[in-house]
Formats: sequence, structure tokens, C-alpha cells
Amino acid sequence: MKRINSTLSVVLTLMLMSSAVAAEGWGNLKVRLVFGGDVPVPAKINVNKDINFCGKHGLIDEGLLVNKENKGIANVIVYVRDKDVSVHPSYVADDPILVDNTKCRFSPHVTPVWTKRTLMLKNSDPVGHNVKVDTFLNPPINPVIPSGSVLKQTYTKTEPLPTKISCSIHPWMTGWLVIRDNPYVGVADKDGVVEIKNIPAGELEFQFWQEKVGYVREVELEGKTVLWNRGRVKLTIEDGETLDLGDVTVPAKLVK
Amino acid sequence: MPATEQTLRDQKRLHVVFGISSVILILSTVWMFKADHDRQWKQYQSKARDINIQMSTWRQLEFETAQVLKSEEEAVAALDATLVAPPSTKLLDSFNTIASNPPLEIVSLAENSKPLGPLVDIDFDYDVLKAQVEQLATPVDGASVDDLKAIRIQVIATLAGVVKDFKDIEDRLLGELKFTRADYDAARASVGLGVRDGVDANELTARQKKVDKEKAKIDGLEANYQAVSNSRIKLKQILGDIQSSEKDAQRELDAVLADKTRLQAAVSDLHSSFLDGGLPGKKWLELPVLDAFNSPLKIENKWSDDLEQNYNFSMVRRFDRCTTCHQMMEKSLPGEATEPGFVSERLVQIELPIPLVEETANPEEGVGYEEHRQNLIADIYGLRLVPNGLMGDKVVAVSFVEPNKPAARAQVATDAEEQLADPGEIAGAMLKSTGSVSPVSANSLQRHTRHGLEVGDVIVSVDGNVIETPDALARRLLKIRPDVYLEDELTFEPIVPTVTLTVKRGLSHPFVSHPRLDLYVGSLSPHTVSDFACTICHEGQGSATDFEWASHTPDDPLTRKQWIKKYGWFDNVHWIYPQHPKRFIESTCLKCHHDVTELAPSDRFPEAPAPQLMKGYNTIRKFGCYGCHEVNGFDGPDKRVGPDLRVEPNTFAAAQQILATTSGIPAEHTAALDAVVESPESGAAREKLYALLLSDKEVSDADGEEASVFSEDTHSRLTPLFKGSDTPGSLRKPGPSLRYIGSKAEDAFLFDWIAKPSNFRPSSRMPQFFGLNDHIKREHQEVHGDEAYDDPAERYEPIEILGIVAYLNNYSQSFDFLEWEDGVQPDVSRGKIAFEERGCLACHSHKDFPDVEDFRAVDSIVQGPDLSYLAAKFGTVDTSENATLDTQQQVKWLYTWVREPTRYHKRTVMPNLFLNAHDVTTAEGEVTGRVDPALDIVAYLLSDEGHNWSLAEGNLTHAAIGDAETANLDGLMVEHLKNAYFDSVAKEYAQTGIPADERSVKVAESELLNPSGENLTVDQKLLYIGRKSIAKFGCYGCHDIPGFEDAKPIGTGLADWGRKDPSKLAFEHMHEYLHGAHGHAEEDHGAEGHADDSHADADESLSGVRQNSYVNELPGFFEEAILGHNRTGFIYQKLREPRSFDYHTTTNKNYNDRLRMPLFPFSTEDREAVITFVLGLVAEPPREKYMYRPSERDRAIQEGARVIDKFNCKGCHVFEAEKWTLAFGEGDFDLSSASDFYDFAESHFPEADVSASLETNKQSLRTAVIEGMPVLDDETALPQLFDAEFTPIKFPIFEDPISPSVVAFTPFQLWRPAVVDGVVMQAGQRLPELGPSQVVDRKPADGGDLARYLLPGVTAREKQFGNPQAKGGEAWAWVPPPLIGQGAKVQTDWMHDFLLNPFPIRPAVVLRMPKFNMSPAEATKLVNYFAAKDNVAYPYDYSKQDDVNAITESDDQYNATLVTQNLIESPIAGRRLEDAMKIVTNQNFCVKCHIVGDFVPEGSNKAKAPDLAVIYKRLRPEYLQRWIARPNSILPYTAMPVNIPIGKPVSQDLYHGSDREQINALVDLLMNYDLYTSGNTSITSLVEEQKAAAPVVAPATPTEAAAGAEE
Repeated sequence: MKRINSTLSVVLTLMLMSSAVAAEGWGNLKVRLVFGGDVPVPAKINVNKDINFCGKHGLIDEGLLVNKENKGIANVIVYVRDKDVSVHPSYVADDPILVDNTKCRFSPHVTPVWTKRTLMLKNSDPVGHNVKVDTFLNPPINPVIPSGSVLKQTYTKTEPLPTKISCSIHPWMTGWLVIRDNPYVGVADKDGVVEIKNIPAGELEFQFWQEKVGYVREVELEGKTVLWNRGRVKLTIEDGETLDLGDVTVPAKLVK
Repeated sequence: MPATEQTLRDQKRLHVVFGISSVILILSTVWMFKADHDRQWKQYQSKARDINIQMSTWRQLEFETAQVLKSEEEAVAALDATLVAPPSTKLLDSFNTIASNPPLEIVSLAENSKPLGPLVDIDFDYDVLKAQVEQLATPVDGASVDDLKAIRIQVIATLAGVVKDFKDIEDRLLGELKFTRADYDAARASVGLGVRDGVDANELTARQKKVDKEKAKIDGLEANYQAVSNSRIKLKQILGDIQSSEKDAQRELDAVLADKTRLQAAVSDLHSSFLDGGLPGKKWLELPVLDAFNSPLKIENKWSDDLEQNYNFSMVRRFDRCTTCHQMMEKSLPGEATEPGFVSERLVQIELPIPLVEETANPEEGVGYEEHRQNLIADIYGLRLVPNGLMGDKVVAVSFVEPNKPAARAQVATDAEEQLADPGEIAGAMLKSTGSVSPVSANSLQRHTRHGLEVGDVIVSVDGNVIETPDALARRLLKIRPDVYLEDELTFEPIVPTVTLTVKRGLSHPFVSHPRLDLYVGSLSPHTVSDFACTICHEGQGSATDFEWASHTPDDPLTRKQWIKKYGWFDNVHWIYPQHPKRFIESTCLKCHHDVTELAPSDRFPEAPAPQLMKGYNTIRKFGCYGCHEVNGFDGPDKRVGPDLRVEPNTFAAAQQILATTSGIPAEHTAALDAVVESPESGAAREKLYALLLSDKEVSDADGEEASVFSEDTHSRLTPLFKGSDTPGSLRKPGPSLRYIGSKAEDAFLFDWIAKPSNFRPSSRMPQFFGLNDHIKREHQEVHGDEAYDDPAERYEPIEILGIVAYLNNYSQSFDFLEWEDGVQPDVSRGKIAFEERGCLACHSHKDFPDVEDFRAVDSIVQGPDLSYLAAKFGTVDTSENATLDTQQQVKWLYTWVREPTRYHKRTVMPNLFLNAHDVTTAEGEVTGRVDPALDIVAYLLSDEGHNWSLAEGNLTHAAIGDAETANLDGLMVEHLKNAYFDSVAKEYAQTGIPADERSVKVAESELLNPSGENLTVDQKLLYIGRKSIAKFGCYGCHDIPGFEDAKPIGTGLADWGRKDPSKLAFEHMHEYLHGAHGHAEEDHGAEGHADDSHADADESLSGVRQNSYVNELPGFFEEAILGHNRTGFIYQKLREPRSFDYHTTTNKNYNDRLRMPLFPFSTEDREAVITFVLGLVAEPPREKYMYRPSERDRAIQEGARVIDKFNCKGCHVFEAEKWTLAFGEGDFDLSSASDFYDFAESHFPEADVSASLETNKQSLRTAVIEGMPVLDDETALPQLFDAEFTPIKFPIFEDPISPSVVAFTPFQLWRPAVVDGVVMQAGQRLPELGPSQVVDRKPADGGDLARYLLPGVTAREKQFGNPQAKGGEAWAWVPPPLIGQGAKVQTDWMHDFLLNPFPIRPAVVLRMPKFNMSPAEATKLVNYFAAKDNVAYPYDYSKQDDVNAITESDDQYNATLVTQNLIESPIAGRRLEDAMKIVTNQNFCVKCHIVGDFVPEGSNKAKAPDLAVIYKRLRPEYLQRWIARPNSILPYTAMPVNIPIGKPVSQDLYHGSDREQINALVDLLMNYDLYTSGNTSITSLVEEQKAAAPVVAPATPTEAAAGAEE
């Protein structure tokens, strides 16, 4: 295990040191995640805290949101697993990223966090919140975010898994951060569409993960069942092209 | 008679006689010298010396490695560099300034002084010196180092010369000063004499002038002396500074060479040869004859310090010669003071990694191939071999192991059963207290399993091929040189191939070092050999120097045979203190450690010091041996013998008996009796009652029984019990009370239970009293040929049992059942959840919850019985709609017992769990029903029918008593009555009872008083038999039985049993019994061996989850001990087959004289443990100073530990977190210190600890010890596990078909601060990438069995019924809280009161702290325990008044600030706490979760936090301050957020001040909440006020504000 650890720490060190290395070209990835089963109805949250305020927003369990119209799965996370990937100049490191406690939920529900950017934890609600961030390699935090205030937070290490954030005061509040040392993280929109732009051309390994599914280890692609070991798939991005995988169906049986 | 020359004897013959006797004398002298020369110990000592020399010689090789030689060279070079370095010009200038300007006074003095020689004769030419220094600074070409050194030596010599010159002047001045003082004294005397003699004034004046002159001289000289001395000291200092670098370099070199020099000195000291440097060596003195005089080989006498032994007629100070042969006892490994230098011999399998090396070159010229191969082995493996071992034998031995080379990194192969199977097991092991599976390779800290080859190891074989020479090993190792590596599929790391070496490690006796040098013998241990010597622990004849006379005792038959053959060993019966065999050696600890509990693992000795003794002590407590066998801790008034295990005084039972058997008791008397029943430990209550009883007896004596309140029985039998004792016993009876048994059990069940407890409950601790006489029958049938033998036991035992049942029922007292609320309906499924969650499983087992056993230590005492299949005992409950529960007595009884245990048994340790009925409400607060958890639990326990259990066949019932039984009953009556009356009278009384006028009727016989004279009924007879049988078998020793309150235990007292003379033990016909094939379990079980089978039968029909297993094994050691009439054999057989001693003896004794000892479900290990304990009960306390005397804190911890044990606090609460020892490579962890801590909340470590954490061991690994728990998974509340690629491993189901053996990481959260890899880690921080293979030792969590078991369950239920987003990582907050740091947390008074009257604190917890049947004294001990554990003051010394004054002062300052900053116009008293209260009641902070007085926040209980209004009574202020500042550094699992992060105070609108000031104000407010609220009682109104106010926004920094705006 020492060997493994040494390797990892070397890798992590390299990851931290990685900088925008010139790539030979840039392409895009597009994919739409579709639910392979009956559209689940998200459970209503039993709001039992700050009922007067939180109770009026019709909160639902956001663990698995499937579009009734087109069965698109929201909030599926896709990211590049490779280390030392070149970063396209269009990505600006100075931009802060905002996670807002608003209407007694985290907005957005899933937030990519590029380690070069600063995370702003905000509370737009008139009630107090706290944000418990259970990071794995970075120090976990759990500060109170008083109503109307903002707290700055930075991360230095890539997290090996999506990081859960929660509020102890409002136990239903859950969200996710995807803390990576590159900006190539896509989150599915309400139609299940994920788009990652300006990816360095070449073969890269992409990770597919969803909150209730975990690793998307099995999908249907063009009518055929394909196994993605641990939700990973190697794709080749062509210079100047958009690789569109089309509709990728996630079987309902994967939902925990 | 004339004289003749004739001698009386014939001279010639005398010459012959003289000649012969001279020859005999010479021969015997020669024989004597030879015998002396051949003494065993000389050979051992000589061999030990050879071993030491050999080891020291090998260890010197460590100083010949390139690295060490390099550092030696570097040190020499560094020294050389300093020896040619030019001195600093600045220093030289300073030197010159002083040296060239000697104090002027010296010069001026010369004129007026006696010639002192040249006063200033300083040989110092600075120019010359500077030239020399210049040569050093810029050496001329061709100048050698030696030239430069010579120049520097000259420079130094010149400087030293100047210092010496100054010293000379100083000395001369001092001499002159002394002379001048003498002259001065003479002059003064002369003046004095002049005055006396009346000399004239002139003369007197002249004399005075002389005095003045001398005085002036002295003053001048003194000034000069001081000036010169000062100059000299300064010069010397400068010279020291100039030489400092070379001195430092010399010290450095000395340090590098120190170990080498020490080893060389050791070898030189030990070396013994005939020629030593051309002179005769020491070896000559070891030659025969010469060695009788001053041989280097000497007998070693270890005089113990004041320890004595009994030589029968006098006590003699002990002196032990054991180390004469056992030379290595104190030897430890170099650099490891407590690690034995030479362990006992054992074969070890070692996996040696094969490194990949380039093709090796051919040998250099002049180097042979064999030598070349050895060099290669040294280079590649870091291994040097020699063809002889430490014992001088021809073997392949390791003489050198280079650190960080393959030989040092070789891994000891784990045993097959220790291999890790899959992550599920690993995770389970991490979570559990028990189980063979551990994430570690089984205690790799022990020498035998310590990784890496060691110097002295003998390599026996390589991959199974025997190795005979170093070259053969070298050839084989060099042949295995793979040039292609395989890669790990997952990590792509190369797989390093290995070979398996079979290695013999250690030496045989007597060349073995003492184990556990941390505890014994070693200079750092509490039992140093210089104070204690050997025999005080080991026994034996310490003065002996021969093996056979030292009274060694073999530990097994094989050793015994070997010793007889090798040493002529024999059992020396004349030495009454033979050594303890190894298996019982721990018994001796009891001599000084009377209370035993101090021998549990502690902070100082984390490895259990005496596990076997502890097991024995616990077994005795678990099975209640003390109920019959008194272990009172004393033999006589002042001789301590082991622990005091006496049962507490039976006063409460006696008071209950008086209350139940007396009618018309006046209220005062009733109150006094009740007081004793409720608080038997209260001396005042007991004394008051005793006084009342005595005065009542006086009334009775004076006016007759009718005039008194109480009966004669009360006066004579029960009153003395209340007299009291200075040192009463403290243990409760091990069995349940039978005072109200009639309300609990049916007759048929009672019969079955008494006849054979294991029939119903195989795990029962109640021993078997009946059905143990088969061997008697077999004896008569097989030995005496009496096939028709009718054993009285078979006839009488059923009668005895029936009698006991009749007695218990007849005297059972009326019981007041508790009633449940009308309309509450029980529910089995609800009951099952309540049974699991409400605490029952902390003390009980149940077959439906087998997993809880995984969280219990194997040897832990599970307080309560296994509750599986209770329906079989009580009958199933009918919960159908139409059933009437009130009529089902079993329900009523169990309900009462579960709800309020003390109602049934006043002294039970079963607590009141507060299982009160409560409303069921919806989330909206609507009441939908009412449940009674106690009734639910009863329904659940009585619902179980999943068994096929039935009463044993042939059980006798009252209804089935026929003629035969009646005859047996009569026969038994006569058997008993014969003891009191003549046979004929006995027979008569057996029929008609005892006439009323019979005098001196004993208590039992009074049962038969029958004034009517008519024949006794069966019931009357049964009552008598019952009473006699209870007395005979001593049932009251364990149970509270009416009528037996004053009965004494029936067993032999065990004080001094460890010394019991075996001749006083009745071995009877044990030899015949064993040889009649009864004793050999493997051949034939004999009569009682069937108990084993019957247990097995029972297991099939009715199995509990926690078994006690009877094992009928008779190991050879004990068989020999029995046959040799050794006391250990006696106890073993007593515990194995207690009635076997009746073999061949029953024919000639009465039925009632047969043995009564019951059969306990013991295993062989249990028996050995019990024997270890009993052997330690010896009335030979060493001198007082050797008695274990704990410090005040240690005593508090030990006393508290006993209370914790008694009430099974560890059943629920974690007392110590997991403790893991890590070994890891540099860079394995990427750790960083937490930076955002307030200084008061941060733990600090000495710098030495930090640097020590960076040191590496022989495997080049760093080590650390961490305390905490694995991080729990949010989904499952089980430990998080990841594979090498951070894929979460969910056990037992895996997401992917990955290899199950790759648990790469186990995130671990620290619960205590630690230093890891040079980083100070605070509690709450994590080691996310901790791999199981980095854990080299693991101590599971101590306690919290139920809490740890409940974590996954409560999480799942919360997700199911409460909050789907519930997080397993927070589940610790819902189960009984860990008590780590409890002493530093709470105020002692509060905790004391809380223990006696617990109330709910945390709404989120699924169960309540129960109320224990605990005395105030016990609560105090617990409180002190926690405080002592955390090393905080107790009792708590918080001064409210001081605090109040400080608060007033702070309030003034706060007001002043507000006024200064124009925030208020004038001071407002109490403003500071008012403002602090604004933080509490603000919608962003405390009141979001905390209850505060009358305010209760919204939400489920899981999200509610304790009431802040009462914590001023509970918490210590320092704790509260740390808690507010950084909650998770105190409780790492807490969901409480950081409200005031460092540098980020809450809004100034709430409280005007810095972060710290705000925290301090909150602490002041909460710690003085009572004073604060004396004027403000409604918090709700304050909360509402805050709610109504506009939301308070914390001041955002410009950047933050901007960012917020942008987003």
C-alpha cells in the first residue's frame, strides 16, 4: 500500500503542478443522459424547520430529477479523469463560483469547482444556514452562513469523488461539489444534456456519475447495452469537432 | 613398665594408612575441583559470554557500512577543517586588546612591593601571531594540512600561554595577598598588644601606621588581583570561543564513534583468552583448580530489597542466584530499552523481496568467487552471513542487516488464518471489538513477527530447501534474479517477487531475555531485578545454582520428560515453594496487586499486563463463585490476600423479610425498614433500624414476645444482620432474587430449570447441581458387579428439586405488579425495534440480533442473560384483539420487570430504562395514538415460538407423586432427620412431625413442628426437604431466598488457598477414577462427561447467541498434577467433574454427605484462568513498600473502573476510541496542520515529539499512534472503504466485480490530537488515505458495544421514517454518546446528580440514559474516574462569585467601549450579556437547533440540540469556550457548525466586539444563565423579537460583496 500511496501522492503533486500545456487542438463533447424506465416522481420534502419560509417553495428530493417530457436526467456529472490536461484559454481562473443557499436548497444542486477558482458560499435566504462540506482530501468545513452573507473558500486538491454538501439546520438540504484541477466538468441540465467545451483533442477518459446511481456503469447506446467499468469511458476528441454521443440511456435498475 | 621403642601402632602400617588416606584426600580434592569446574552454571555463564561477545562483534559490523563510515569520515573531516581554520580576527583583536594592556596597577605596584618577580612577563607578540593566522587564512602553496595544523596549534599554544601567564600573575598576586594579610594581622595584633601593655603614644602611632600601610597594600593587591583575574577570565573565554568549533566537531565525532567504542569496550571486557597483549589472559583463571579461587565466572547473588521468604521457622531475606545461569535476563535490543534482546527460539517464515539488479560484474582480482558472492549479497540484499550461530553451532547465521535494504524490509509471513479475506471482513473488524479478522498483520510489533531479518537469525531453508553454508544461500539468492517484472493489474506497480526464508529466531533457555521488559526486570520497569530479584514472582529455590535444585516446574508433560532426561529433573517435594509453571505465572501478581483491576491495560501499559489473571478474576465474578466461596481479601486482621469479593450485607433482604412476616408494624418501624430496603448502603438508616429492633427485643425480653412488635425469629436471626461492619462486602449476589418467585415462574419450569439450567438456556451461568452421579452407578455396576444398584441420588434428587420448588413457592412473598394504561395495545414489531434501540442489547443477547455479539469483546461479561425464547419459559403472550392481557401473569410480571426492575429485585443491576408510555404524533404534531414501549417489548419477547423446546422428560410433578415417590420422600426425610435425632426418632418424626414440646428445634426442623401429632402431609414434608436442600446446596449464596437472609456461604473460603497444603486436599480415589477410564474425555466421558453431550443436544433444540461451552478435556499437564496430588490438579478436576471425588466413597457415607459442588459450563481455558486466580490467593504479603499503592488519580481510575464494570457502562458508551499504530513511508500521507484554530482550542505538542515523528525505523518507515474512529459512510453508517482508485466499496455488495482484496484506503478521523509525519493533527482532522497495510497494530475501541452496533440501524430507520437525506456520518449523535473527554467536559456535582437521577439532555438520541440502582458513593467514584482520566481538577472548583465579579468588570468595559464609540450614550448595566443573548436568539445561530428554556425550535428531534438554559450546571467554562470555537475538534462527528470562525465575528449589530470577545461573551452568558434570566424568563419572546427584526447581514468584505453582486 505504501507503493500505491507514494504513486498517488506523486500523481497528486503532478496534478497540482499541472498548468495549461499547449494542446494540439480543441474539441467539444456533447451527450444527453436519458432515463431508461418510468419517470420517477420526486418525493416531496417534509419541511419541518423554518416552515413559514422553507415550506412555501414546494421543495422536492433532487436526488434523481427526470424530465417528464424527454426523460432527460438532470445533474448527471461528466468529467475528464486524465491528469495534466491542457486548459483552453477561454477558461478564466479568476472567476469566483457561487453556491447559493436559496429557497432552502443549494443552488445549483451540483457545482463544478475548478481548484483555480474561488468558491463563494452565499446565503440569500432570510433564515440562517450552514454548509457542511465533507471533502475527502481537502479539509472539511462546516461554517454558519448567516442570512445575506457570503463566505469565501478555496480548494487545492482534486477530490477523487463528488463532494456532498449539506446543511445541518435543514436536514433535507443536500448538494454536490465536483472539485477538480481542470475545468472539464459537465453537469446535465434539465433535459439531461451535458456539454463540455474546448477539451484538448485526443483520447481522454470520461467519468459519468449520478447521485442516486453512483458510477454509471451500464448504459444503452444505440440500442445496445454497453458496460462502462466504474462509469468510465475513453473517448477521442477531434480537433475542432464536437463529439456527440447522442442519447445515452441509463437503465432504471442502476438507481439505488 | 620399662619404656620401649615399640610404638602403639605399627609404623609401617601407619605409613600405608597415611599414604592411602593422602591419596584419597588428593583424589577427593581433585574430584572436588573437577566437580566444581564442571558445575552447570559455569558452562552457561561461559556460553552466555561467548554469545554476548559474538553479538557485540557482529553489531560492530553496523559501523562498517558505507553510510556509517561516511558519517565517520565526515565527522573527522569536519574536525580536521576546524583544526586548520584561522581564528576569527575579531576575537584575536579582543584578545590582544586585553593581553597587551595588562591592568596598570600591576606595574605601579612593583615599586612598593616585595619583589614578585617580573610582574608583567607576558610572552605575546601579536604581530607574529597575526602572521601565523595569515598563513592559515591563505596557505602558501605546498603547505600540507599537517603544516597548517601545526601552525594553528602554535597559535592556540601562544594564546593559551598568555592565559597561563595571566594565571601565574594571578597566583602570585594571590600569594602576595595572603602574606600581606598575615602581615596586616600581625600589625593589628601589635597595636592590640601595645594598648594592653600601655606602650607610649608614639610607639602606638607607629604601630598603627604600619597597620595602615599593610591595609593600603592589601587594598592595592586586591584591586590588582581582581583586575588580573577578570582579564584572565576574559582571555580564557575568548580562547574558548576560538576553540569552540573544534570542540563541537570533536563532540560530534565522539558521538558518531560512541556506540562503536562502547561495543569495542564490551568485547574487550568480556574477552577471555590465554594470551592478552602478550601477557597471560583471564582464561587461565578459568582452568580447573584455578577457577576455584578468583575465576571471572562467578555466582551472581541478587539480594532483593527487604523481600523475605518463609523458611518455616523464620523469615529470611531473599537472595536469588537465578541470573548466574540466566545471564541474558536484562538484555534489551540496542536502542530499545524494553525490547528483549534474545527471545525464545521459534521458527519464522520471512518473505525476502528479490530486487532487480543489473548484471553483476566478475570478481575483482584477488577476490575468490565465494567471497565475491558474499559481497554481492551484502550489496544487493544488505545481508552478511557467517557459518556459525550465536551458540557456536555450524549454521548459516545473519551477522549484519543493512537498514532500508531488502533484508531489512523482508516481511514476516502471516499465518493462514490471519490473512485478510475481503474488505467486508476488514471493515467488520474495524468496527468490531472482537473477531480474529483484523486489518493488521497480527501484532507485528512482537519480536517473533517483527518484519525484517535480524542479526543472530539463523537461516534454515530457502523456499523449502535446506541451507547449510552461507555460500549455498548466496548461490541460491543470486540465482533468483528476475529480469522481467510483473505489474499489478490495478496499480501498474511492479510486483516484487519474494523467496520464503525459514528462519530460526531467538535462543533457548537459559539464554533468553525476560519478556515484557517494560513490566519486569528492566531498569525502566516497575519491577526492577535489583529490587525484586526473581523468586518473589517465580517462586522456586533462589539460592540453588543447579537446575534440579532450583525447583523449576515443567509446563507440560513433554517438557517434563525432556528435563528428566537432560537435567535429571525431579519433583523436589521438600521445597514447598516450587516455581510456578509458565501457565500460572501471572497468579503471583496477586501478591501485591490485591485489587486486580489495576492489572487491566492502562495508558502506561497498553498491552494487558496479566490477561490470564484478569480472565480468572472475571470468570469468578461472572459465574459468582464468590457466592459460595468467600474471597474476603484478608487472612487475619492485617494480611491482605487478593481482592475483597464478599457479597454485600443482606440487610435489605432481612428488612424485606421482617416487613413480609410481621403484621401490625407501627409506622415508625415501617419507615425504618423501608429506608433500609431502599438504601441498604446508608449507615444511618441501618443504625436507626438496629436501635429500634434492639429496643423491641428488650421489650420482648422483659414483657414477653406478645408485647413486642417483632417475632423471636426477627430478634434472634435477623437483628444481628443490622449490626453493621466497618468493612462490609460490596458485591451483589450473582443470581436473581427469588423472593417473589411465585409471581414469576411456573412450578414445572422451575423444576426443569433447577434440574438442569442448560436445558432451557445453554448459555446460562447457573451451574448444574443434579444428575451428576452416573459414575457412582457405573462404579457399582462395573466395578462391584452390582447390576441392580439403586443409586439414592436417582431416587432423592427429584424429591429435593420438588422440595425446593415447593419451598420457594410457599415462601414467595406477595408481589405488587405494575399496571399499564387502559387501551394501550402491544405491538410485536414495535417491540422488536424498541428492544434493539432502547438499550436492552447493551446487557442482553437475543437470537434475533446476533450481530451485536460482534461488538463485544470475547471475554466481556454480558451482564444479563440471553433473552431468546422467553416465550418457552413464560408462555406465549396472546396479543389478539380479544385477549385480555391483565389475566396473563407472565405479561404482568415481565412488564413490571422491564418497567421497574427494582420493584422485583431491590438490588438488581438492571436499570430503569424509562420505558414510559407516550403519545404518537404526526410531523404536524397531531396525536394519533399512545404506545407503551415496555408493553411492546414484553409482547416481542413473549412472541417468539421459533423453537421446539419442551420440559425434560421425566420431570417430577407434585401431581405425579405416587407410592414410590412417597417412599423416597420419607427416606430422604429420615436421611436429614438422622443428623439431628436418633434413627428411630428420626423415622417417627419423618411421619408425624416434631411434637410441639420438643426442645431445641433447629430452624429447618421447625418446619416439621406438628402440634396435632397427625401424620405430616406431602406438602409439609416437601417444605422441609426444600429448606434442607436449599441449605445443602447453598442456593442462597447466589439468590435472595426468604428465610435464608442470615445464612453463611457453604463453600470453602479461598483466602490463602494458593498455599493450601496438598496433603489436606481430599484426592480420594481420583487415581482409580482416572485409570478406570473415567477421566479421559477422548476415551470415555465418564459419568459427568455426558454433561458435554447434553449441552450439545440442547444446542440443537434451543440455541442462544452467546454460549458458554463445557469442555470435558483433561490435558496431560493436569492429569499429571492430579496424579501427583498437586493442588492445581485438584482444582482442575473439581471444576471439570466436581462429583468425581465421590468415586468409591459413597458406599460408606450418607447420601447427604456426598459432594455438592455443582458443574459449571467451563472450558479448559476458563478453568486455567480460575486456577491462576486462586493460586494467587496467598497470605504472604510482601513488605508494605511493595504493595501496589496507586496514586490518587490511579486509585480514582481503578475504583471508577469497578463501578463501570458493575453497571456495564461500556455496554453503551465508548470509553476509548480505536488506537492504531501506523508505519508508513515518507510522503505516503499528504498532511497539513489545521490553520484556522483559536489558540485556546488548539492542542500543542513538544518539538521533540514532532521531530520524533519524523524518525524512521529499521524498515525506513515512520511511525505514529492515532486515536479515533474510521469515518462513517453517509449511506450506511459503516466505515468508508475505497479501492486504490477511490471507488467506494460497499460491503457486502460490490458495485463492480472488482477484486475483493483491494481495500486501499480507510479514511480515519482523529478523536484525539496526534503528531503524524511531523504534522500536529487536531482532533476532528482526518487521514483520508490510510491504507490497512499501514496499520501495524490495532487496539479496538473500548466500550460502546451498543452504540457502535446501533449506528447503521438508526441511520437506516432515520432515512426510512424521518429524513431520506439523513447522514450516517452524523449517526454518532443519535446513539449513546462516547465518553472520551467527559471529565474535562462536565462539572463534577452535576454529573454526580445526573448519574443518580438522569434526565434527557440530547433530544436526538434514540434512547435515554437509564436510572441505575447506584449509590451516591458509586456515583462519586464514577465522577472522579472521568476527572482523573482527563487529568482535570475534581471536585470541580468553579467559583461563581469570582465569575460574577469578572462579568461585572467585563460589562463595564463593554459599556465603556460602546460609549466611546458613540454607540450608546451612557452605560447600561448588563448590556454585554444582553448583546450576547442577541447572538443566541438570532435566527442564524444557536436557536436554529438549540432548545433554550421555554423556547423549542422547530423540526424533528434529530435536528434539535440540548437546552442551553441548563448547561451552566453541566459544562466547564473552558470546555464551553473550546466547544463554541471549534465543535468538531471535541466531538469529531458533530453536526454543530462553526458559528464564529476565526477572524469572522458575527454581526456587530448583535454584539460589538471581536471574534474572541463574542465567544467569551457567549461563554459568560451561558455559564451565568441563571443569573441572567432571573429578570428575563421568556426566551420565546426574545426569539420572536429577533425574527421580527430585519435579517442581520454579516459585514461582507468589498470583494465578497462584489462577488455576490456578480453572481
